[in-house]
Amino acid sequence: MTSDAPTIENQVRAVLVDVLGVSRERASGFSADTGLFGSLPELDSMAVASLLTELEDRLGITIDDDEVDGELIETFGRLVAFAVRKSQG
Amino acid sequence: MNDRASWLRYGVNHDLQILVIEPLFEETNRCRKLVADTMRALDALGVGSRLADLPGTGESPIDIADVRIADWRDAIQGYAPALVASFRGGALVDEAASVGVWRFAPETGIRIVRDLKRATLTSADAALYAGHALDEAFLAELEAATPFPLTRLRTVRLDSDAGEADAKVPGSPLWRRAEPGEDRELAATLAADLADWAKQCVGS
Repeated sequence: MTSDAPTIENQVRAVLVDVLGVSRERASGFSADTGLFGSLPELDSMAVASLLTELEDRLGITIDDDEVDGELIETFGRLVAFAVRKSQG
Repeated sequence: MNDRASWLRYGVNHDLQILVIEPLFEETNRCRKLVADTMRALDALGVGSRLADLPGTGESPIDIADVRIADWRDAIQGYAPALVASFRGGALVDEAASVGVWRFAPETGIRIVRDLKRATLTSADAALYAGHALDEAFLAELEAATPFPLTRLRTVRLDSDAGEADAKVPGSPLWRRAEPGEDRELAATLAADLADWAKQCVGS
């Protein structure tokens, strides 16, 4: 983990607030094990597309569609780990 | 009555009238409340507005699979608008305005198509783009489309958006939100900016 990791985690939280329309309070309670895709009904296919695009815009990263599957967005922890890895290039 | 079936109009008796072009595809639903709230707020500021009908969308009887971008541009041209306000992907077809164009968070075709294609990654039906049976040729056209550069143009974006703009305003990117939401403060801010701009356009 680099010193950027907590910041990236917060940015991922902020994107989830915008994409899912959940409250900041609820998002701040997300832990590594919190289920996303398959657990949150708000997160449908179109929302996944929005989530990826918004992450790219905010983190200044590029996500290849080949990298995306259900597992990547299964939990908050996996998504943050992916975002941190992408941000490190 | 005009023969075009614009189903949403506010302030028909105001001198100043603006044609509004909504975001495209899924973003239409997500931003419907924002657009309607902005139009209502414009009415209160003495500016009338109507929503443009794009063939193959909304109440249109035409199948989206038979539509080309040129059909949308023709449809806008058909209104012979003086002032146009476009939201998001609506900016791709807004250049017919004879006096000026105001854009909120304009988006390029390539990014809109990428979102549509991405929605198929985790979707059960890969043949549908976010629920739309879109023709490949249409997608290629859309991918190549960018908002037309105009001289009489004002661009407004959210302050979280890194893109170039004449003004940045606080608010939520409702077009990203899974469930359609609202942001009345943003609608009021946009309407105030739009009304000022429209009055300047016709006053000068």
